[in-house]
Amino acid sequence: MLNSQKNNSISCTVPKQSALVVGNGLTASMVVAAIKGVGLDVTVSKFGSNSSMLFHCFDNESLMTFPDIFDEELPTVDEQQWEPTNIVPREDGFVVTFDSGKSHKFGSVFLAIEGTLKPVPKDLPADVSTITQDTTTPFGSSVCFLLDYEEITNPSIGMRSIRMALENQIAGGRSFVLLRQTPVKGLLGETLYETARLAGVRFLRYGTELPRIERLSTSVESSFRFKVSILDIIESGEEISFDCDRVFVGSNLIIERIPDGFRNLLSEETDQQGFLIQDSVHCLTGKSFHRGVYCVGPSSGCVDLFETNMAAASAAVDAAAWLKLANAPQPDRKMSITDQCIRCLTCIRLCPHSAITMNAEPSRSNLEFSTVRCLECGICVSECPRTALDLNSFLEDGFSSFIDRLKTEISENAIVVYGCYRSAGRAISEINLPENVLFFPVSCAGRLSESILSATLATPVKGILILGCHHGNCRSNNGTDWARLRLSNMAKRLGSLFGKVGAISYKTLAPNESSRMLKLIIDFSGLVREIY
Amino acid sequence: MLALPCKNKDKEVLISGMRDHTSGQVVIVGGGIAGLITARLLSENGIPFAIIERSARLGGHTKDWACMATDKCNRCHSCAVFDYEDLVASSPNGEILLRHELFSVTRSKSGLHSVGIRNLDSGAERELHSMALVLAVGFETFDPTEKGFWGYGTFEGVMTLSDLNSLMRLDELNKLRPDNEKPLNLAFFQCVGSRDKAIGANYCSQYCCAAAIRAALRILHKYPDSKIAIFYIDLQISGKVARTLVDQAQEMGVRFLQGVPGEIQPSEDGELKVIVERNGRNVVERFNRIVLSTGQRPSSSASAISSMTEAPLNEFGFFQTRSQLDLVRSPLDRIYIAGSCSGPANIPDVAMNAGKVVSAIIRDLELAI
Repeated sequence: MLNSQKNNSISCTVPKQSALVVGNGLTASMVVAAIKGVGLDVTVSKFGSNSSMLFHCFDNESLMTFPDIFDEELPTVDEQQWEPTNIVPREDGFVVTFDSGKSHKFGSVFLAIEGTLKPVPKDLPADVSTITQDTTTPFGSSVCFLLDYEEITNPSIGMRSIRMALENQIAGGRSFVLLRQTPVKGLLGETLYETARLAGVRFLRYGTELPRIERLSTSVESSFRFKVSILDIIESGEEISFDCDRVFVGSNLIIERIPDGFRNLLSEETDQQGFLIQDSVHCLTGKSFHRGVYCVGPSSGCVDLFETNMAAASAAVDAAAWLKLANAPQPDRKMSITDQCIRCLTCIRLCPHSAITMNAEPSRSNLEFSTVRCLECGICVSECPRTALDLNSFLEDGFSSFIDRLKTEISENAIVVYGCYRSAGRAISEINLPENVLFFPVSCAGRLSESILSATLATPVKGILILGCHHGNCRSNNGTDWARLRLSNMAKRLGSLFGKVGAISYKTLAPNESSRMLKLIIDFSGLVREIY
Repeated sequence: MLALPCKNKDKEVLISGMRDHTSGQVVIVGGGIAGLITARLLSENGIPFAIIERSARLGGHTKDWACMATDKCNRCHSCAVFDYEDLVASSPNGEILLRHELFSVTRSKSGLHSVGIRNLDSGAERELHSMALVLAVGFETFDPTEKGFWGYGTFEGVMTLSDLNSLMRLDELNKLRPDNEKPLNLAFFQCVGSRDKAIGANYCSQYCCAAAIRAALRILHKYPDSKIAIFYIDLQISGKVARTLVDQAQEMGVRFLQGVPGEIQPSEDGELKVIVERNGRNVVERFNRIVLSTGQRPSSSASAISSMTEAPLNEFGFFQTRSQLDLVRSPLDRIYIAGSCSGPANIPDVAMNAGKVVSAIIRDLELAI
């Protein structure tokens, strides 16, 4: 593998304007259309299932008029069967290595794989099937749609069920929908529900007791027969039983295998269920902590056709913006490095934005700092063992002169508040600080190295309060965790060395919590006063 | 006048005095989160914009919302508005016109708009040349006094979700605790002003279920001895967040009760009582606070802007989109609808919707790279 990588030089044909789309189904098609719409070139890596996991509650005819998708021929694109095994961010894009051993450079990468549906719960008869977008209703027969059985059915799948129940009813069949929560998604959700009810679709709501579905023995082979019993908690409060020909169960999505390349890149950006978080805090348009990486559709937990289409458009627009930025003449450098650097590569490992790279050849050449990727958190600066790094807009010197000032020019009972500019730095504009409080905005709570904190404590100040962003809301992913970790390290040492426990504290905050910020500061002042 | 890179520029015949079809700005009406995200994406794609905002600040409703973090961020997204505001304010190619309103829109044969705006303080008028108009006028929170039987404004202890948010933002939740000693016994009433045909709001407001659950979690984080019930018709939260939020709330002891009581009455001991049906029998439940999860209604300025721009409204009073499938274009060329003024939405939906608006503008006006 190593050899093959070495032998294949990286191809660089208009890399900045090209996008890689990984996926094989409707999601990938929509992403391709969206990217073409903003004028970028696309390469598709056909990975994963080609069966669409996207749901909508319209009839297929009207869907053909869906703008930006079916109103024109899909563009022809370069298609490959490869799986991306490694994705490495670079200054102006990504170097993607495929399982074929080849490497290519792309300006942005899109994960647009489909998903699979959870199978029919084991306690239901074998002939029960899951609801898919392509399920054609067996018109004219008696059909039961069972939603919310093991957990709340995804509303997009639930809405599809209501549409199918309605179509079946109109075609002369009988439809039953068994549920706990009626899905009424979107502006027209309520109207669809109402239309279905008026057309005669029977909605039955169950509570803690699950409906029972039994398979009836039947002499006619072509027709299934089920007996359904449900304790209806709304209309009658009684148990209702009926027979029907088919039973469909509304399921939920499970994520398909994520290609290794993306898994490694986005390891910290998944939720409890394994879906990728597409709404990372500093964006809501489908991109992740690494700018230029986008997750659209089922991999982010979305099974709605329209939402996926919007996410595709948003991601494409953001990718175009990102490429414009990456291609533009770069402003002044954000980082500086001195010859103290011993190439220990700590900074490369820690950078949450993949903004630091190093060319392997010539051996251990200089570090490169991407101006467009860097969000100036300064986590690298805080952990550099040689103090060789600095942020140009939040200089180490700024801390030093601030700390120097603390040695002389402060009032009695002074406390220092170090706050992330993004949360505390904004919240402070709406409050009046008590006179003994000195506020110093920092690029990120994770910028506060133990040496800065120790130096601050060595001055006559009576305490330090660190205000970071809430856990899970840090723009640099783990800056807030760094602050917490350092504080607990220091508290241990301070407890034994100086007896100043409690003189240093860490709290989290949002920009719209001005009042809480003031209370935190006042409480901390009180605590400090108690200690002394 | 700014000229933009345009892929089919040779197609355009530029006669002197006549404007290029991509000249001017994209004029965004409304500086809430929809307008801000639209502006940011336009700006980063090199497309000049102007935001017209009636009030004296950007951010709209989102700025009034409180942070819902407990020991971690619960992804309410209310802080996103600050990030977007900064990004937009530092755009090199945008104009932000606070305390301004639209007073006229005239359309030329080429489809470009000439937009008349007025400074609400000085009365000074100005004309903007717009290559596209984005309507992002947002929504109005339902006023529960429209339907008197919840006792909003009459009974102490009945408040709206917005009122609760204001208290949380000011970190004054303690004001809710009677005598500041008794534990909080609070109920959320969902679907107040939503899914209500009688008042012309026959739709789900999309954001309130998740908002109520997050608020419940935040209250329990601050006062773990609180008792919280959520009365709902149907929980409407999309798959991904639904399980996490509902599970978390149930673990914390939040009661989810199907069916929203129709009436609130003061009880003799100064609390609030509601009649709840349980197992076919009527039971009286008592609370010391009731929060009405008020829904989204069309913006009060929607009809005036509709008649000015000729962009039609739908049966509910929201801006009509070109079809049920095209959720961002108005039936009129070069007029786009962003955010909750085309129908109720939560913040992530608005963000996606704004992205789609910008993508449609880039396609329709051929502004691609």
